Amino acid sequence: MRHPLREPGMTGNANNETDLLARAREGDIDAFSRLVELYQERAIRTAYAILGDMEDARDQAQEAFVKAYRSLSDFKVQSRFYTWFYRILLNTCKDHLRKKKVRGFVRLWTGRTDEDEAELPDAPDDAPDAAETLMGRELSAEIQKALESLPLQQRTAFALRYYEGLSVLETAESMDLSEGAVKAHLWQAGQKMKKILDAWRPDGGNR
Amino acid sequence: MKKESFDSMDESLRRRLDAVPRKAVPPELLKGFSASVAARLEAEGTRPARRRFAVPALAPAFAVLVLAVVVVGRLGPAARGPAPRPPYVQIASNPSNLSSEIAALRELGAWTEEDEQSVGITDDAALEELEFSGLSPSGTSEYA
Repeated sequence: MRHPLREPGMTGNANNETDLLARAREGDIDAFSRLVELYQERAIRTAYAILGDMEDARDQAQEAFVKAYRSLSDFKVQSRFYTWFYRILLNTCKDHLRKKKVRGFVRLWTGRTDEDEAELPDAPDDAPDAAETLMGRELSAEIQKALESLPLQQRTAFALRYYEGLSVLETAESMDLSEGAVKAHLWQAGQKMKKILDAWRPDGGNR
Repeated sequence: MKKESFDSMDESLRRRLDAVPRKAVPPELLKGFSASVAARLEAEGTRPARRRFAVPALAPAFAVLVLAVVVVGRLGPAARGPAPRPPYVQIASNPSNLSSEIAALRELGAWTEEDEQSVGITDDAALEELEFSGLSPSGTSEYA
């Protein structure tokens, strides 16, 4: 199971992270950059699960890191940095979705469209075999599509728990909810996802 | 929802989703990511903010105070008793002080657009109109 502090390249970094945090709190931007490097990929992936757009995810992750730096004095040393940071990231994504909604309304009114929404090329996935990769990508896309149709809270809980590998407690801390509320969101999201996983066929479609 | 049901669904989903490759972040998005964050922080000259006392705690109280004063300002003289006015009423009922009070609250971040909309002050002109309504028919401030 994936976990922010247990992924390759992250092991043994807890002390390093504490040190970087202490230096960053004193205004050391280089130390904070190192911290950003530790979490950047995960931050973008989480934002992508919520926003459904890679470029938006990158921009909002960047915004969240800037906000995190500004609020480092609010971070309690005994807390876990990633649950604190995820809370900032989730709020940033939420704000972005709200603004996007408003912009959507404005565009509808003015009849304007975004011309600069170029799609980025797909990055290769982790699966070793080409056919497996293709099948995996299809299922992954199917899951992402379903994820985007979920209410925001369910989507967020799902992404943190099953994509980022956070425990239910950590998910609750990041979302500022009770464990019970997170379980309820996960339960509802899980039922929908199970249907997709059960129905998925590698030959191009659902049963 | 039974606890066992949640745990078994949770476990089964974790197992199944672990096997699904996730869309990787394109390397071009990661390239220079931390450097841009650092560049933004350096350009802004930002340092982690020190915890400020009193301001966050008092800011909502100030906002409520200003709103209360606006309401009091809109009531007729009969609605107000003969009791001496507290200093904050005198300050805020003066149109120029009201503007500066709101400006100060804005600086503190306690006065937002939401506040403006909730009281119907959408721009400076609306604020001027509100201030004007605090004047007596003779054109002089009621408290002058």
